Amino acid sequence: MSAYYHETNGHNGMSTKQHRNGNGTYPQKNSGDEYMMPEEEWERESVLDPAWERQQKKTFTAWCNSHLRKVETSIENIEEDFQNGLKLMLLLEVISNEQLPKPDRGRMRFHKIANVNKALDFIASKGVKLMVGAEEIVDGNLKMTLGMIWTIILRFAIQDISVEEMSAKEGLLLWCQRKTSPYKNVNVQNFHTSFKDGLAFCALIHRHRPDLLDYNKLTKEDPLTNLNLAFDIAEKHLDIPKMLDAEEINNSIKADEKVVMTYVSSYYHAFSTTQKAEQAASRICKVLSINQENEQMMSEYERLASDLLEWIKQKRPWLENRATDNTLNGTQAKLGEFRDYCRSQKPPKLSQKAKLETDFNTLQTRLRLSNRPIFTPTEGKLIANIVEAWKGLELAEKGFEDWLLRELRRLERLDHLGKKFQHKCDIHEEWSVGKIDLLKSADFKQYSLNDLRALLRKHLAFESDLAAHQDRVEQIAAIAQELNVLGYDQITRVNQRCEKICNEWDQLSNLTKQRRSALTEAEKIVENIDSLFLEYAKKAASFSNWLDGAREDLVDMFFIHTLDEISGLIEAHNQFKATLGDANSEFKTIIRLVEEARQICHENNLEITSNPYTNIESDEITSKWNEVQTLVPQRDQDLQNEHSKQQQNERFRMQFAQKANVVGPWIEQQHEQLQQLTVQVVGTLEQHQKQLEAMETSFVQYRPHIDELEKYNQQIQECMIFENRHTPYTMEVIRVAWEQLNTQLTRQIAEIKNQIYTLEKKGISEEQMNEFRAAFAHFDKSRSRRLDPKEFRSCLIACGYNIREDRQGDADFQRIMADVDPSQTGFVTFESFLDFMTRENSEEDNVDQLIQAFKTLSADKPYITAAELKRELPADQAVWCMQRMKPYTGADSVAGAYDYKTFSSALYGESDL
Amino acid sequence: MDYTLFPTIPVFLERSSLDHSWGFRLQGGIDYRLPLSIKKVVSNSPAHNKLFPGDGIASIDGQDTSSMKHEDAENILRNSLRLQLVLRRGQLTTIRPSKPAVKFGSGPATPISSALNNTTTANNYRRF
Repeated sequence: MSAYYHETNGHNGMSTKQHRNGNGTYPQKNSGDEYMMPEEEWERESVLDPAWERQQKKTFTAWCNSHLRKVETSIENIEEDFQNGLKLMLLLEVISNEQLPKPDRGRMRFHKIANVNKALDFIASKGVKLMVGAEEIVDGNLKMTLGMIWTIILRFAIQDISVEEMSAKEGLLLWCQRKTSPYKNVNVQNFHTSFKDGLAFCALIHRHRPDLLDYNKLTKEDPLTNLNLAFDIAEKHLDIPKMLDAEEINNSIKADEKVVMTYVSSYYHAFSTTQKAEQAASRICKVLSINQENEQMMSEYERLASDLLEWIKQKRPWLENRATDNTLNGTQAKLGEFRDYCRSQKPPKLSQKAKLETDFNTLQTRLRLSNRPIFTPTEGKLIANIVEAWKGLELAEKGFEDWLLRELRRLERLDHLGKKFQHKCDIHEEWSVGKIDLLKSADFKQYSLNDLRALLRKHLAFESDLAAHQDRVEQIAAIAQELNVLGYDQITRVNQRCEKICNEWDQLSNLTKQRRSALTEAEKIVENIDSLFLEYAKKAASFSNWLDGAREDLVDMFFIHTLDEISGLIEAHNQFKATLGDANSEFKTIIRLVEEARQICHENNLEITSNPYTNIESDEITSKWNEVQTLVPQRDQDLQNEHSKQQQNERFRMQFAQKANVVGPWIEQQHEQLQQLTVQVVGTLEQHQKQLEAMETSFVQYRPHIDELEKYNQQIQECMIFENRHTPYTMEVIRVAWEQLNTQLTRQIAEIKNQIYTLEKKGISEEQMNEFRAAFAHFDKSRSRRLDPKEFRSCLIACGYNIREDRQGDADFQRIMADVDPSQTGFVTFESFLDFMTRENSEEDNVDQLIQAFKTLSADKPYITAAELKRELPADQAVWCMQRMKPYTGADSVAGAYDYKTFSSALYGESDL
Repeated sequence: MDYTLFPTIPVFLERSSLDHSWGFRLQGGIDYRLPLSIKKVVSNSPAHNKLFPGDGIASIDGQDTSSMKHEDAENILRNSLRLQLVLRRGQLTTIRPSKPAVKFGSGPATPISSALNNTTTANNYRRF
């Protein structure tokens, strides 16, 4: 049994019992632990040390007054002022915050006893068994009065400190030890000698309010200064009245434990109030800063999305526009522009798009982790919208380059055909000039018979000449036709010229027919034919025709793309050259015929007449023959030049192919490695992240190879090289693979970072993480890094979820799906799987915690004021709150009151109704 | 999501004044892509023993909620003295595993096909 009171820690709190001995006095002991004093010892009369009595009187009076001042009263003499019981009842009301029965009015002794009894009954109702009688208080018994006040202090100021199931005294001691442990020279072991030098008091103050004193300047050697310093500061700044006397504490060998405990308990209450407010404020700050950061990420997402969509909107019409200006230069310029788009404009936008996607996922992960509602972007800026717009862009882009190259090819061919057309027309017109006049002439009417026959023969020769020209006219018409089909921009002129030639040709044919019938008619009259020139005429006509053809062939233009083609042309030319010997003998034969005729005329003294069978002069034949002989070596040179050009083209092809055959497999290999890293994490996530980042660096370093390849590709395009059979890779394939490689890596890094973030936030181990990864990988049969609903369902069952094969199971599963795939993509990513599997098991109510924190800051009011917000929170967060809080509208509202309850639930997307 | 899988329950609530709380906390709405639903219920309130945490709200006064924003629903609920609700019991109840998970070792990964395989033309490259 304890001496003064006895504590037991029952399930319903603490009960205090007091035992009294026969003569009704309360003993005070000189030494030892008075709380555990054996019962016999405290029976002794007048053991209360006068010094201790004086100390208790001073301290308890101060303590009572520190509470009574709240109702604007005080006591001066502790054994007298409580005698009538009135102030005692008042004191109890103030410290318990409860109403006591109405006191009896009247000054009679029995009134006083009744009032003191009401106070004692109230104390007893708090589970404290008192062994003091009302009469002793009314009689002004000091020892009894002090004993009663101590009981009150113990019950109302110290008992609720009990930490970790300890007794009140031990609880208060533990609190002192914890708070002073970092301070040198302080070692709190009891409530008397440990406080003697004052450092313990100073340490307690400094620990909570470091601004109030400089602890390092204090020394053990100056206890009076220390004690007075602590008492002064506590009175001035902490609103704790002086309850102790510094000299008395310092001078007594062992101060009274009760007075020190009483005083220290006032410190405890003063500090715990501020501490609670600080905790509440820091809790609110944490919640608010998460919301602020999230809002910032949301607006950043919106900004990036608008940017990107605007850029796509700008670029798309340009890519979709397939209008041509029909010029080679214009089309080349467009190709250059497209090249710039592929190389400089698109890649940064692609990474922007990837960033947008990863930012979005990171934000959603953060929101989920902090139990906030998910983020829905503004209409039209959803990830799906971005992806769709991007697809649209790529669709528009697809085939754009192909189209440009086709267009280039078409324009080049047009250019070639146009020139060929001109050339053929020139030759034809040169031939046809004057023919119509000739055919129209009726010169033969007065001719002799012989002359007429000659004329007929001449006409027959013309007819064969005409037939020989038929091919060319057909070619001219065919070229004109192709120019029409290909959309030649000078088609009107071509058509006019072609039409003129065709019309003329028709006219020639008709006239020829008419003339022939006219001559045939006259033939009956013509009998004699001069055969002198006949042979010449025959030979000269065909030879001249051959010469015309040869001249044409020798300047014919070629349009080729391969070495084989040029070799073919050279071969054909060599074959042509081989026939030149025969042509030379034919030429000599023809000249000899003319010479012979001349010789005969000369010999017969005849005037040389013109050859009636032909208009082809031997001079003409000679000059044409000479021309052919000049053209042959020129042709040799032209073909040789073309051969060199084709060889160079082949070199460019090889150059591109060799590089592409290195770059292509490198990208494939990198891609494969990245895929491996994607599926399997070896080592810790941080090691994995480092590995990926090393890869990223190697990609940046590899970039010059891609650029070099681009340079070769440009060379190839500038030389109009369209095919390359030395490599399976085209620039476009390399570009796409390279971009994909980079995009995938960026995404990988972001995912790993998210996982690390999740790991830290959820506090799960690497081992657990690896187990989740393994489970996910097991069901991800397609290696697409996401599960379809069927795979996900199997995965959940494997993870221990009871999802049955019935309607209830379907309902459960659909609910989970809606939870992990809020955007309804139809798939579950590893991130959302991880998030789902690591959801906290205890459904802690964030909203209520936040409301509780605000309630603490507002001193238990249902609203909070601007002044309170500004005082308790950092300035920016206070402003942030005031901008979003609605006015409080309850019946007990005051001006400028804010509604923190609605605000708190709105932060989590909820509302109290 | 197929909502017909949940039993629907009509509930009628009444209060004497707008200052009287209904006594429940609302969450969700189309803007949060979460069905409108009951988060918690206060004891001895009009909602007590009629609404339960996890209940989805299918309709309010005959109005379908599937395209309602949180704020829209909140305004209707705040400014009514009588409410005719149709609930989907247990729509939002959290599902938890009932037995330990199967362990999966991280076995050898299946071979990955190359990004550039068979990509001789520009248009048939593999998307991933």
